[in-house]
Amino acid sequence: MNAPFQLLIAEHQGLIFKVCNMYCDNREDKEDLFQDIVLQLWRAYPSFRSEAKVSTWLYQVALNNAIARLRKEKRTQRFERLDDAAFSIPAENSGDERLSDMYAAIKQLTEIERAVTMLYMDDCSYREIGEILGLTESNVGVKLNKVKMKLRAILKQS
Amino acid sequence: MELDDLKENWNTLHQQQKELSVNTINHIIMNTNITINEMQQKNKYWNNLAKVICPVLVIILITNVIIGYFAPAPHTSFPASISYALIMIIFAIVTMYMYRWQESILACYNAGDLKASLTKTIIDFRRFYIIYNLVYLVLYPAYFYAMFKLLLNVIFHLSETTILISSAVLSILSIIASHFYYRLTYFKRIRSLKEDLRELNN
Repeated sequence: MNAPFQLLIAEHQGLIFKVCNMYCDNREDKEDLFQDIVLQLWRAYPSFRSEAKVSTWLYQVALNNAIARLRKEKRTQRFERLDDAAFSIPAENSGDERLSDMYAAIKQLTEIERAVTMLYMDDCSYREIGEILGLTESNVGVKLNKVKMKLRAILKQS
Repeated sequence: MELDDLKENWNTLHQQQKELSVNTINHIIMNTNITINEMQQKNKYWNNLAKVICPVLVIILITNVIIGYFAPAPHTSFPASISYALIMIIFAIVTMYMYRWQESILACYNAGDLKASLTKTIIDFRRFYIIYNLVYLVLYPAYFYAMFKLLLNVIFHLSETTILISSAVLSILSIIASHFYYRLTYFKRIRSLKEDLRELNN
């Protein structure tokens, strides 16, 4: 089970980093969340059905872990410090001020709005977003419009 | 700038992001395995500890009951000693069960969608907390009363009123302390989960 799981994590690590960057502000929390998500994925991997879309499953586990869990795992073993570049936020480091302003505005949204935004940016369909968050497609559309309006207002204010 | 403008650049930006090497990924997975092993060891440790403590407790109580039988305390009969011992054993078993139940709620993995996960976590915790309080509302007074009668009364010869008042006071203090523990540790997080769920439902 180890090798296919390693491959899966290696292939989709970007997705996990996006969730960590979206829901944590400091380096230590990001590393903790990354490890928690990998731990939950490892536990859930035996029950993962290969006919399901990998990214949908990964997003479900990652977002459940980032938003819905009551407590983090207690651990004594920690990461060795990961490469700084792995947790860098491309939109913030792109050199384009408008992109970094937009990312900063996204970080001011609620947890649920951030999830909708991130999934939309990652080209998930309304149906997929609905599957991951437990919303209907029309609800996703309504939430997304609300998010866009809110972002406009935040950017206007700043 | 609009969200869709960022979306246009989003994937390109992330494709340029440096990825972790397979070695680092392996290291993280190894670390994850260590964490899982640690947790299993910890569970094993608590289970083993419980397995040791329970018989020891039973032996101590049986010894106490036997002493009570051969050298009875003036106010405690042999059948009463047995019932106090049983109360203490029930308290220990229920406490272990409650601990395991709480652990399963806190560390639970839910593969469903976010709304289902939030709902499950909130309902499970609420159910646990209500049952926990109801159970200990009955168990604490019984436990403290039994403890005074069986273990402390032999030495201190307390009056019935003193035992009843002490048991009641200790029970109230224990319930208040556990409420504050849960309030400090979990209530804020539960409120935040409820807000998230409300937002998803709106």
